[in-house]
Amino acid sequence: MSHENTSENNFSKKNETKPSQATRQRSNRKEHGLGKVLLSFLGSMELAISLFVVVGIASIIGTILQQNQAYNSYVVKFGPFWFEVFRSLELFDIYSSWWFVILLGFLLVSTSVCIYHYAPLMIREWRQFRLTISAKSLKLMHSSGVWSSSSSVAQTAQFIQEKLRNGGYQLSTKTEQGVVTIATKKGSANRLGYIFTHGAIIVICLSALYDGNFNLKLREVAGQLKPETRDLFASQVPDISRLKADDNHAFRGSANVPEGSTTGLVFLQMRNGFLVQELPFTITLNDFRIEHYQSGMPKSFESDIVIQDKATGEKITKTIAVNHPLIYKDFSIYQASFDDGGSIMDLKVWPLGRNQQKITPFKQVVGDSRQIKIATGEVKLELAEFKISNVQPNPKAKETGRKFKNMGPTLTFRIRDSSGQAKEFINYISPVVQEGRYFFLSGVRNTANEPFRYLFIPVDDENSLKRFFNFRSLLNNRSEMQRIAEKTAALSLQSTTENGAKMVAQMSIVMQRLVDLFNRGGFDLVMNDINEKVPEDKRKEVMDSYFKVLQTILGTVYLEVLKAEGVDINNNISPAQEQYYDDLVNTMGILPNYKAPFFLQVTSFEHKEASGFQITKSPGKNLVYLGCLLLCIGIVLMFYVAHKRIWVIIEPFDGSESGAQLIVAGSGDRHQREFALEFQALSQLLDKQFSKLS
Amino acid sequence: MSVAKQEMENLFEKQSFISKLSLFDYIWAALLLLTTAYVWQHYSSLMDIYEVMILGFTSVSLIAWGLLWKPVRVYTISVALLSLFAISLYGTELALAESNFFLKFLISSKSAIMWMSALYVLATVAYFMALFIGSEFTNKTASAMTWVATVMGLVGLLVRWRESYLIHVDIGHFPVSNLYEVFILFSIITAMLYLYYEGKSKTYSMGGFVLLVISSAVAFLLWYGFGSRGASEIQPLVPALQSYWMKIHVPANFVGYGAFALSAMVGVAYLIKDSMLKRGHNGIIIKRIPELDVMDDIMYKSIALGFAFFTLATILGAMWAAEAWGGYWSWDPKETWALIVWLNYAAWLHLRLTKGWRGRPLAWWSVIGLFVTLFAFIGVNMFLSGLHSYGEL
Ligand code: HEM
Repeated sequence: MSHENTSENNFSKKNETKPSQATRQRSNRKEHGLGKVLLSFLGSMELAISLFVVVGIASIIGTILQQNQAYNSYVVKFGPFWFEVFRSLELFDIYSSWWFVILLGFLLVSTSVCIYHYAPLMIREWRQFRLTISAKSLKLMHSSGVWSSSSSVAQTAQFIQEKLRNGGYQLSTKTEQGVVTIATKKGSANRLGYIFTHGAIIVICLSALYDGNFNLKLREVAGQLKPETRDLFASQVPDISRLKADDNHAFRGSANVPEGSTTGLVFLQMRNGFLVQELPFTITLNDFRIEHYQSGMPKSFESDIVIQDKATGEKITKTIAVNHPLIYKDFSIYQASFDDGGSIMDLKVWPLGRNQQKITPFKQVVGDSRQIKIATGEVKLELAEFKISNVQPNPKAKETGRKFKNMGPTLTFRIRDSSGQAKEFINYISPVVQEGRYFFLSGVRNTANEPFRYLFIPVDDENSLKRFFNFRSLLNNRSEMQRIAEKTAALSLQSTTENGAKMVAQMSIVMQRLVDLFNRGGFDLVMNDINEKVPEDKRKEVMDSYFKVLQTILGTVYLEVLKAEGVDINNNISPAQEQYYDDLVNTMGILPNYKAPFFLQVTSFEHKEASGFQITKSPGKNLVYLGCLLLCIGIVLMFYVAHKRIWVIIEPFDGSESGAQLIVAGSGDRHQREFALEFQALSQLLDKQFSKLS
Repeated sequence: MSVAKQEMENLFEKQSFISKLSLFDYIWAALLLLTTAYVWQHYSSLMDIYEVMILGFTSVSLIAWGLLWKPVRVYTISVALLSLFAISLYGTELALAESNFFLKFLISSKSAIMWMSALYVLATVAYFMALFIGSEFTNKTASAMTWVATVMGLVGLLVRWRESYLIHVDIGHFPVSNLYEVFILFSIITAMLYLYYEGKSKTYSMGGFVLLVISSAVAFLLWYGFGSRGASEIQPLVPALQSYWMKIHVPANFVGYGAFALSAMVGVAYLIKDSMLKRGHNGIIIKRIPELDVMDDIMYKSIALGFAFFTLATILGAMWAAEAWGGYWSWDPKETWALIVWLNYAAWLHLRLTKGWRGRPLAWWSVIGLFVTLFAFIGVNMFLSGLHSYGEL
């Protein structure tokens, strides 16, 4: 029989016997009754694997269903019924839900029980040599062989001991009634690997649990805490939603601090609400700086902060940046984000509706809202977002050699009517160049998912909106329009007959009506009017003449506006002024689609930034890292330290003085394949020295 | 087998480790130490303490790696020479990529990646051809092509590293920051792992299977990098990624992904052979695929390796998160999927080790494991949003 050839086939079979071995060995412990059943259930591999799978699946749910969003967005997505079902299953905050924590708890218990079962065995195998092994069981091992030696037992033993030592084995030898038993092992630290890895899991889970917000959940259940769900200022939050500085051993919260401001609190998010956590120190933001790449993407941002201890008054000044937090006592302060810190906008309202009162310019802070009187009542103006720059890919990258261009600052705001409906606007604060001319650009949309539709208002000779709105108010002025229409009609017909006077009167009325249509509804309304009143075959003709008339009267109005500005209109107007007129009419023609009661102009602004900090206290962190270290060491030991054992039993040969028989066998546990090779090498060595019996 | 035997015979004879080293081994170690010293001398002022540590660690592990697996030395030296050649051709003029002959057709990052892609696909075909016609020569050719592709891939990455600095110092970064770059990394790591097992077991017949997954990665790479998305453009880094952690976290992760992919593809070969045998086919082609036990063992070994690296990578990721986002674990989708992948392979290992599972079920499991891994690696970026949302599709 040759073991060398069979090693491959035996390999898998041999390993399959391992679990039963393990079971036998672990049941050495004396356990009785229910406790025993429970322990063996908790420590069973089946439970462990099931837990792996269940935790895995639960985690998947948490990644598919976005966690910790605003509750009403879930209602919109799932409807009230499923929202309620999901909420009661805590699916919106799975990872700190009761059932998830309990699952992890089971994993913890299961691993602990497992360690309790196996650790003694592992330690035994790590430290001890198995000297009590019989020749019979050695012969059954799949790497084994028997040789005869012509030298004495002692000499044979010495030879083989030396060889095994060379091979890196530790030895233990026993001599009993002339029979020498040598037990050896190599890489037994592998067994420690089990204890390290599994112990590490326990260390990591426990410390992470300690760092989590489980204690807050418990206090919530006990009625001592209640997350605040209203949109309140920190100072208005009631005590039941507040935590004192020394009241919470671990937390992770966020704070937005505007430049020049100080805060002593952070907000802890809990499901759809928050808690206010007081800090034992204050944070003052002296300066916030942000740098951008050419593409407008943030390159780096950092904050100059001052920490002042509330008790001692001690101050620390430091600059923090992404990836460079400040560690202060048990706290870590991270640069997490940035935001507007309440920039102040100087606003001017240009009414677009008729009969609207003038509104004096005012200041408003970004994030605030205010009521504004319009002709038909009141609307609410909400300033949503201010951006200091807007970099976009340059459409003329080829010609200019610049890949990006900066469109300057923007203000995003909403105008909400009395029924609560809002439209969103984005205004470019400085005029934007388009085909060589400058325009005030304003985008509008009804919902956040739509793209903005843009209105371009040309800038006048003073780079302002004045001319545009003068033109509009003139169109709105009935008596003036009547005067201008009559004058224009008379001029264009140039007739003195009585019939002519009638025609002039008629023409002036048509002009006023067209201007009124155009003013109220742009090109669209004029077209509709034609479509309604004129039979189809005549439309084209009528349209041509209508637009000619409209052009004439609008042109005259424009000249009036220029005249009022002080332009000498008797000489030719400049090409720019001519171009302005075209742009003006185009913009006016589509203005009704803008559907806003006024045009909001930002005349100047004071930019204020806020820095977003993440402030944490995680006393378990270093323990988690310790656990991680143990885990790594454990895994390396388990995978890469091969636990190998070789036994040798040397007996005197049939009572003769000089001869001996050796039985050599071994096993390589997890590394059977390598061990088989190693054993082959040993066999060859032995073959040279001794003669092989089997 | 014979080589291994030769080594084993000496195992029980007294000798020191040193005496086993050849001249080339010494030269190898000396070369690396000198290079490291040179780099340190010239550039340490530009590196922070962690980067110096990474340099030292990389150098030591390269030496060790070269001693443990000899082909690494020739590989490393070829990569280094080619990359340095490309870098010296560039000088400070990025535009040379379009005009210099060598750069344009061979070793600018883009061309090197193209060569890599083409060679991997060719090698896949060649391996399968060799499997069907049983030609040793074709096998060797396929293997050589895989080696060269792997050289070109790493050259491509290293040159890209330099190119990013040529665009602008501010933009310069280690090229493992978006899906395009990590797909290259994935391809070369998976190929390396395969080549290691190929060299050890001297069987080429799994090559086609393993390279199939690499070829798929290449297909994705070409579509993603050079298609309408143009992801092969070098982009600047968002602030959160500007950290030395990226240099260790990402490569460690990809050793994990690569090893899991390898085990899955060996699993495919296993399943094919196993079902053919069950149906009574045992033709010459089936015979050329390694013994089931051998494949089973490779599957285990590569999952073990993957698990070790993946664990390390996840831990490094947690430490980085603790520094960048303020918490070592935030249940961000990417983190969560890392946990899922990890639990999946933990279950696999336990079933094998404690329940004695072998063969088919575990082969299936490792194939399915690849899909779980793939989701963690691309699916999360594609379908889920979170803190890791750079490198989106
Ligand atoms: C999250 C929890 C756990 C992790 C990450 C984990 C990890 C590991 C790893 C990496 C190995 C090494 C596999 C190898 O050597 O190839 C292992 C082995 C093992 N695990 Fe776990 N394990 C966990 C929980 C458990 C539990 C709950 C049990 C008990 C039911 C258990 C029992 C075992 C046993 C018996 C071995 C084999 C040890 C040996 O004979 O060398 N493990 N585990």
